[in-house]
Amino acid sequence: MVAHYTQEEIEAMIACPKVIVQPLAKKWDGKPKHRQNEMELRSADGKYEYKVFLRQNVEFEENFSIGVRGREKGKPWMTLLRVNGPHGPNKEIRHHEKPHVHYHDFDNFTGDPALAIPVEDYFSLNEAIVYFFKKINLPISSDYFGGLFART
Amino acid sequence: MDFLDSIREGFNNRVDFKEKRPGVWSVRAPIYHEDGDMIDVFVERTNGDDTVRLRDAGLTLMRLSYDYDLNTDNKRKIFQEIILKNGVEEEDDEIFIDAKTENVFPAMMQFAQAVAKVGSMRYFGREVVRSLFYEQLDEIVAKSVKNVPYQKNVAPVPERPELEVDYRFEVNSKPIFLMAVRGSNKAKQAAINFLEFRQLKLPYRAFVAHENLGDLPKNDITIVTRAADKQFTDLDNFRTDFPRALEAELAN
Repeated sequence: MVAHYTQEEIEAMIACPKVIVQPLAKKWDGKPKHRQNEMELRSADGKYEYKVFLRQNVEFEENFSIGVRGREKGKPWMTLLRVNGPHGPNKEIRHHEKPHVHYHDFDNFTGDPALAIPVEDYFSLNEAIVYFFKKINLPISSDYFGGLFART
Repeated sequence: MDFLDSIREGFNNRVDFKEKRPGVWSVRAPIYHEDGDMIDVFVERTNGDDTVRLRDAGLTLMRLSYDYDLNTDNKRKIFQEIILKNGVEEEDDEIFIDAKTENVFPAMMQFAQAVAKVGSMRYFGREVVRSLFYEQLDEIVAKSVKNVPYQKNVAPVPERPELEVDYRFEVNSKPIFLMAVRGSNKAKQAAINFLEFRQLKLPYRAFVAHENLGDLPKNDITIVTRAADKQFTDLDNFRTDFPRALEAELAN
């Protein structure tokens, strides 16, 4: 697969300040087996655009993922980061069932964030949401996130 | 033999189980998604005496939805074909397979293969299913246009049926003609149509939605740009800007 971004660009895309283009929906979108919400962002300098997705399984609520896809305008989208719940083992953390974050491992580029790092910073979905938005440098404001923590 | 023992034997003991809910076991087998996460398989005894159900609790489609939606009839059809051809079943977005205890290991491998194939549908969006462009565009049009009458595949000049436009939107006194452009030939056709309409002094606004403007040869971009009033560079751009452009035309 052709790599369209360097590791430095990927890290800059994750860490740069962002502004909201399309906020999260006030209510989660209920699918038969999971619920979901989405928002659109751009970098403060206008260079990058982003799509944020939140997903949570209905039956196993510990199985959630909050992720961001991004691109430089005119280039392909790529998933930059996923913050996952303690849903089950990963190849790299086989014997544990911990919350973990998927990053791009540029040396082993597959097109999907393959590097999984276990983290202690959150456990529940709400904690993970706070962790995620801090990670992508977007302050949580009640104007945009008021309905996010309410359950449907 | 217990069904868990049957799975354990199949994997030569390289498997573990965790009881996630009473009677529902998560199978920890060395079968992985691309990102290294284990493929989610839950196993439980069904009401039948010796029947076991392997299921994904809807997690396959949840994962797929990170960057790929089953939001068109064609995509759903492809999904159902994968389900059917791999001998598994689906209900309310949950993929499952029922098996007798002695067959639970081969059933699990069959299940994992089906799940992996569904997961790989995201690549169809970038490669194989590029032909879905027209279907996806049609869906965006249907969602965007609330109170504007429109027709598909219309020849604005009845005596010139070869000059067909993909969509005609009735906006005030000047209709919008929209051409969906995928590839060089369609780009040339769009430019010819609009230039002919101009010569015939038809009142119209010329819109072009590209699958990917950047993929076109430079000369095609030049002729389309000369003929069109407004262009959308790709489907994402069309999805975002077409409703705004339509509103702007209505306001004129």
